[in-house]
Amino acid sequence: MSENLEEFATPGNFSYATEYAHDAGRGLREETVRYISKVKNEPRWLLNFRLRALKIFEAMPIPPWIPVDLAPLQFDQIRYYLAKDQEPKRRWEDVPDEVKATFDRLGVPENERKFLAGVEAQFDSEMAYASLRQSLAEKGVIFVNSTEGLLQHESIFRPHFGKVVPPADNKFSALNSAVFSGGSFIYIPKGAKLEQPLQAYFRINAEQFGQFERTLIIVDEDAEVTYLEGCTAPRFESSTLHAAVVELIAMPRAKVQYITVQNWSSNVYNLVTKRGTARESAEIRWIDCNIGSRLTMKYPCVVLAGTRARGEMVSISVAHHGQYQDTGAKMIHNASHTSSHIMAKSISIQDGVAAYRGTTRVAKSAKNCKNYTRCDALMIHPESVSKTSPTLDVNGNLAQVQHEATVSRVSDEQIRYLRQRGLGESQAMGLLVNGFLNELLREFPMEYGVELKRLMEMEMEQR
Amino acid sequence: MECEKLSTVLPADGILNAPDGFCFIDDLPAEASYELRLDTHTHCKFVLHLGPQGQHIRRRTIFSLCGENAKLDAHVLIQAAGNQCIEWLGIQRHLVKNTESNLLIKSTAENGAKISIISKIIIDAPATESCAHFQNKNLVLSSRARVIARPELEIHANDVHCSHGATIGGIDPTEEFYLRSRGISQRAAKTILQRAFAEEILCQMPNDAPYN
Repeated sequence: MSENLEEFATPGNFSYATEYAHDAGRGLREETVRYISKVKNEPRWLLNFRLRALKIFEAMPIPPWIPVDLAPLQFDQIRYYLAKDQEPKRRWEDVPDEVKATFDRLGVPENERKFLAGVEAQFDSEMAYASLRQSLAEKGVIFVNSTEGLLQHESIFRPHFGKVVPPADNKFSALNSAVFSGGSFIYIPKGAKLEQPLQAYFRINAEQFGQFERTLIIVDEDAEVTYLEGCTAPRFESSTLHAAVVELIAMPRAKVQYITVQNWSSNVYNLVTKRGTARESAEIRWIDCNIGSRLTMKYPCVVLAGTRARGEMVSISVAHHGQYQDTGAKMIHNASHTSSHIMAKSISIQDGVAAYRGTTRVAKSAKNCKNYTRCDALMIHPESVSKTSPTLDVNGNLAQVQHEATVSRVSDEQIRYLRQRGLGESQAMGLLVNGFLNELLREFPMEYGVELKRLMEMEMEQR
Repeated sequence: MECEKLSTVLPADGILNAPDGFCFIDDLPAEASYELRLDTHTHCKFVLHLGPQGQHIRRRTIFSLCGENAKLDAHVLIQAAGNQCIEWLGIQRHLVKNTESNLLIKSTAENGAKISIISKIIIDAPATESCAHFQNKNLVLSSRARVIARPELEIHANDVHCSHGATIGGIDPTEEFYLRSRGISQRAAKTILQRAFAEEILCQMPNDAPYN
């Protein structure tokens, strides 16, 4: 393993040469979809689902309001499916050394794995390592990849698959439905409460390779789960596409927390559709941190379908030089006595653009709904750009919907005060930026919070 | 402050270079679109009441702060009832530094009325040390009414003070209960609260405004 690591002479070069057993080639045609389906041994209904989605993708135009030119993304140059020919591994010892070497570069510490309730690391489109701890299996938790989920647990996953985010929802959810591979399918049985978060590491590892993972989490009545997803991507010359679909279903009184730390390399186009349905008294929380990518368009949504359901969104986005972070949240109140809360903080550095785009909708039939949205933006440099465009759409007189937004900058007085106390300018900047984010960083699990704080300090030192 | 009616001072091209120290009253018909330009050291007020103009009302207003130290205070009251449909599309645009704009929009929607409020603050890169605020409060009085609010910000300079806020809600039941416990009928209590809600803007209206 150490021999393998010596190849990485330059720091920050996460690219790793890998040979692929299955390669669907460049471009997207009907044959590409048929190839993916054949390699995965999928049943007829799933192939038809993919082909239907492909037709929708081809028919739908690219949304005109996309803020960045998608021309560098040549859809006919992308490789839609690459996989190593290997079964998902249950034991760590069985994982090939070269895959382990990549994980070491990702910074997954060996001892941490023991604490993780179920480690699932996605190596390109297929799962290279998946281990479920005994205790999880005893509780009846199912934690598999998308192919295994649909093939071996069809009765559980098929009724909900593609229902929360249908293929026709938008162009990129249609694309994902046509070529998806990898991702996690999770079922938490009635009453099961998981103390440890479930965790997955995602990674893109082939140039021009779009990763289209599909995640479906079903949390049955009274169950509770926290799911963690973190990303790093290798540095590539040409643009890469990441179009994932995440579907959450929270049955009555269930609680789901979905935590994402997104740190793709700055050539990745990250166009993700995330949505959850909350039934009676259920709670869905999205905790989202976007630092990387060229363009991120991500608006996690909660459909509050049952009475007394609750939706929450905590969002941090950092836009650097050349980046466009278009993030936000959607709260759809379709049932009475539902409540939702959105907290979004964004930082724009140099000519980075940080935008909040969100919707809060209260249906006619929904009574006594409450929403509170707060967006704060911090602009570091004079050329930084910040945008906010929320939509509040209320039917009827029994709702309370509020939105607030502020824009601020780091003032010279604040810097001067800290410098008087003996801090360097970049240290002072790091401290002030962390102070701005602190309230939301606390929502992340401790190790993520600590990492993010360090990351912010490093960013400020570079300025 | 002297008052000017827009119907008498607005040029044919719809762009008015506002002189200093005036309060402009929008008394235009149901559909209108115009730009108000404020030059250096100009301090203006703007008042608008949407509702009596007709069934479908649409306003497209651009407030451009083109000169340094220009300041604008704008108040808009929207009252929709029946099957009325009222649209407001406003832009507060700051082009140069040291400019200030404040916009307050209050609306009430009764019966099956629809109100749509899209209001944007744009701060251009040279407009440093500017101050822009937008506040929007909407009162929905019927279960059939609908209010859509979209307060937007687009900021290209970092040394600015900007904020916006929007609320949509019904009549506060505790306020209504307070009035009813003092012997006021439900209907009267509603009228009082509605009037109190609009008062903040009505008091900005000059006495000879066409709506009073």
